[in-house]
Amino acid sequence: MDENQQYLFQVNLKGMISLLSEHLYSNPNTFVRELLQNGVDAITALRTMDEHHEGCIRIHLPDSKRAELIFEDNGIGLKEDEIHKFLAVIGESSKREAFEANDYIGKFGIGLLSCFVVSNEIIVESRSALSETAVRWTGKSDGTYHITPIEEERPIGSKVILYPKDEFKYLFKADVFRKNLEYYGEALPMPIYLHYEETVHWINEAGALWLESTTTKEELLAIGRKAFNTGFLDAFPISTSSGGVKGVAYILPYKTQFSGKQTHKLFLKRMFLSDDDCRLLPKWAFFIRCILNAEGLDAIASREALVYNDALKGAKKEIGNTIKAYLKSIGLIDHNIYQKLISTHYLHLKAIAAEDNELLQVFIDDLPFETNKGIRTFRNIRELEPTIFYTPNIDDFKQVRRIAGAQGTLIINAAYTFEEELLKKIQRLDSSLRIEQISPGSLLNSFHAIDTSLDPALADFEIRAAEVLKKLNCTCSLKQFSPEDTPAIYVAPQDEINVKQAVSPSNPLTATLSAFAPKKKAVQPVLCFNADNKLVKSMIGIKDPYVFPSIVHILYVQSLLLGKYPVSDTEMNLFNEALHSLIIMGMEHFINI
Amino acid sequence: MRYTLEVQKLLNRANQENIHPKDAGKLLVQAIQIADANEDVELGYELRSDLMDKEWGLSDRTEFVSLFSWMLNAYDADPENYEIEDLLWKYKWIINELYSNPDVPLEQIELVLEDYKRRLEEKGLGIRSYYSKQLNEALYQQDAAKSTTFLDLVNAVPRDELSDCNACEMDTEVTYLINEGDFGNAYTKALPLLQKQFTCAHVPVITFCQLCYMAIRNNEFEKAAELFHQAEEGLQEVEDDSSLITSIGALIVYLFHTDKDKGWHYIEKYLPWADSTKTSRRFFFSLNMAEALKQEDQEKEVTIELPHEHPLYTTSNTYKVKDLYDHYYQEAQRYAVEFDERNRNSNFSLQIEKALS
Repeated sequence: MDENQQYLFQVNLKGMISLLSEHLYSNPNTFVRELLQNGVDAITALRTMDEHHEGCIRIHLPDSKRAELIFEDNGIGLKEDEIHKFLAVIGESSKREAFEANDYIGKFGIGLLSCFVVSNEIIVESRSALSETAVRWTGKSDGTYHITPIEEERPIGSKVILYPKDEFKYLFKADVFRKNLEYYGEALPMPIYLHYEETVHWINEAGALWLESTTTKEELLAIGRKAFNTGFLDAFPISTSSGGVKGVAYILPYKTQFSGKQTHKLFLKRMFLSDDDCRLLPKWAFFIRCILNAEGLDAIASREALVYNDALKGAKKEIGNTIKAYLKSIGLIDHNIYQKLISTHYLHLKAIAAEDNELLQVFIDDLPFETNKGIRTFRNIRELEPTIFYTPNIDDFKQVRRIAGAQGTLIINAAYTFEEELLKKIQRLDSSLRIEQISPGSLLNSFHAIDTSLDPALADFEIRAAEVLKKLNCTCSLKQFSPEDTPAIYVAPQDEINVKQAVSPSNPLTATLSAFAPKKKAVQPVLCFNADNKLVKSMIGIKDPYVFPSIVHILYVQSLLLGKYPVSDTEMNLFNEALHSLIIMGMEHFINI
Repeated sequence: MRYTLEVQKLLNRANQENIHPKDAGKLLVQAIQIADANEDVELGYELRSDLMDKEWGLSDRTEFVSLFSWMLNAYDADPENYEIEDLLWKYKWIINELYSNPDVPLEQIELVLEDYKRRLEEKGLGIRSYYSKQLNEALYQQDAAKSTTFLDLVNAVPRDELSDCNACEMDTEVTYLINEGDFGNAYTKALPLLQKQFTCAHVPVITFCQLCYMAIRNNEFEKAAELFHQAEEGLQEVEDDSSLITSIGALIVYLFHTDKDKGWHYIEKYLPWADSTKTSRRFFFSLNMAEALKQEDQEKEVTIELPHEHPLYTTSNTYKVKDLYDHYYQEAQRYAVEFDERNRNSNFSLQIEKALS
């Protein structure tokens, strides 16, 4: 054994090719993109030598006359030594180290491999602009290739010839292939022609109008409708200096929740890249769809996403600012769209405004809020109410709404976290407004208190009622409030989760719970009687040891129901028994008369 | 069964992709109330488990321990009905939560740890996670001797279903090396994480953050910049995860060494996250804030928007750097005293000295 002998690893080419070609790309159509890309790059390369060169790509599909696909470009072509170098060494690309590598779409040297997904053999016939003769390269998926000279005269350019595998033949059908070509190549700057039987289709005849600054809004909207199969409220251009992103943003015409991702159309150097926004859009832009082309950003190796770099971050920031600028100005430009925008996307606008003071100033007056008096704009609320009350959660709102309504107080339901933030922010920006949080407890405190020490009958009522309620773990209070026809209101802290449960003897956490309990005082449920109510007034005189508790029980359960609190079986039984007692007593009274 | 329909509606809303975790939490609380009102223990258990998942990504986990305690009671009452591994996994979170609250006495934590261990052993599960919880705490306290003891104990038992994932264990070892002050070794150890060979919910974002901090303290500006960039990219994926506040604190320190304007911007953006927690996360964040602000001209006046609830908040939005620094320095001190008292050592106070020396 010679210790100095260096050996070379053997790589199983067949395995490598199948790995790279089948697993690098997420779908078998990728070869269409890779072929287009090679063609476009070859034409771009030739233009560096002859700037007037009119490049084009022609694809001849398998049809009644031929079994193979021919993909032809009139770009720069490859010389024999270049073919050895670039087509035969995986990972080598003619474009990576080229002087102006930025002009090319591909640079990883693995694109052609994707053709092995759909074809066992790839033939490349090429004549370089720097050579008089053409050569034919035949590569097989087992990793072997050979090169033969072509005798006949050929124009400058390359032809890639594929023989579709049976299981992928459907991809080569005219309608399927055409769709794929349009999908990837609709925005490419050189004409692409698809030949099938006797017909020729110019795939990208429409061009990328959305990239041109002269395109009207109506045209942009028509392009959007075609691209996404839906109409839009409005469209506006996007253009960034960082990353050279250009395109259109569309405002969705329907409400979107916080769910799901919007699909977009993202092109890189005018080749379709992804229907994801690839992090170019700010996260809050749920209501926007984009068609964008980036000239100065980079794709990752699979070419299905963008590299997250400073240029992308810069572009993202500029796009965010453009959208905000649009939102700020649309009210002045087109009031109709402004109104529609608000009525459709107010939820998202609120979320953005909570983070952006300028936008807040623009929109706040027109933003709608849910209140106990229906949906109101903030302007309406601000103009009519001296103090603006809000509840930070839906439970409080449900409880407070009825009582407050009767008092004439308006309450905003600030159920979303950003709605509360928004209201706090408005308060900070405008100290002339009074915006206050309200809870059922604080509302109760605002009721007119009664000094029972002045009236022994009232004091006696309160003591007796408290005694009955004590057994139900509820406290009693007597106040004056409207509406008069409400005899009692039940208020309980409902935001915390009830922990009525048998504690396991082997649960050591029970002892730690107090360390996590909120520091505020525990609030006990209260049944607040209305001293102005007729029924309550007449109860003061009832001293009967059966009748009085029965009425208290009935009022208790009635208040639970009115406040939409859950009513347990025990409480329902209490209610039924109380009613039953009253009926029996009433019957006896009736008989005794 | 109409209430299950109500619960399902709430769940659908809570599980929307881009909903703020706080809002999702509110919806789940409503759902739990409905389940409880209908005495549906199994549904209550499942919903509490969901709510814990949501709260895990928040710096403010008000219900965390009580939710879990309820689940544990339900489990003990009817062990056949629930999956033990999921429960024990959450138990691990709870142990962290107990450590991070200075009001929980050490004796109680020890009882809980023993209970956790007993439950593992009863189910024939390994006790690697039992040690790794204690290792994590020793690392938070930067207690070198204890860290080494527990790291050895962790490695003495094989991995099992409840031990931390590869990514998290590797991150723990990186922390161990960082605490030893060996940036080079820590960085090398972290390479597989930095290349995202292993990932988890918070790894490698937190790895980037702590290494970035360490790099800037070691004057390795180039590496720090690269790590910062990667940390920022990682944060994109977890935009609303306020439990990352301590990692963000580390980035703020970095920024005050390199780009103060951006540092102030970060403070403005992330302060609300810190203000919503009362745990050791608050200590670490305050310490980072003090360390960052120390780099700034103390007499300078800055205009930033503090949260309304912030003790220094004024309507003018203008603050003197020194006042902010004093506030965070004192806050860190206050927490350190509480933790050191509970832990019967001076590990937190020592960390203040080390960071601000």
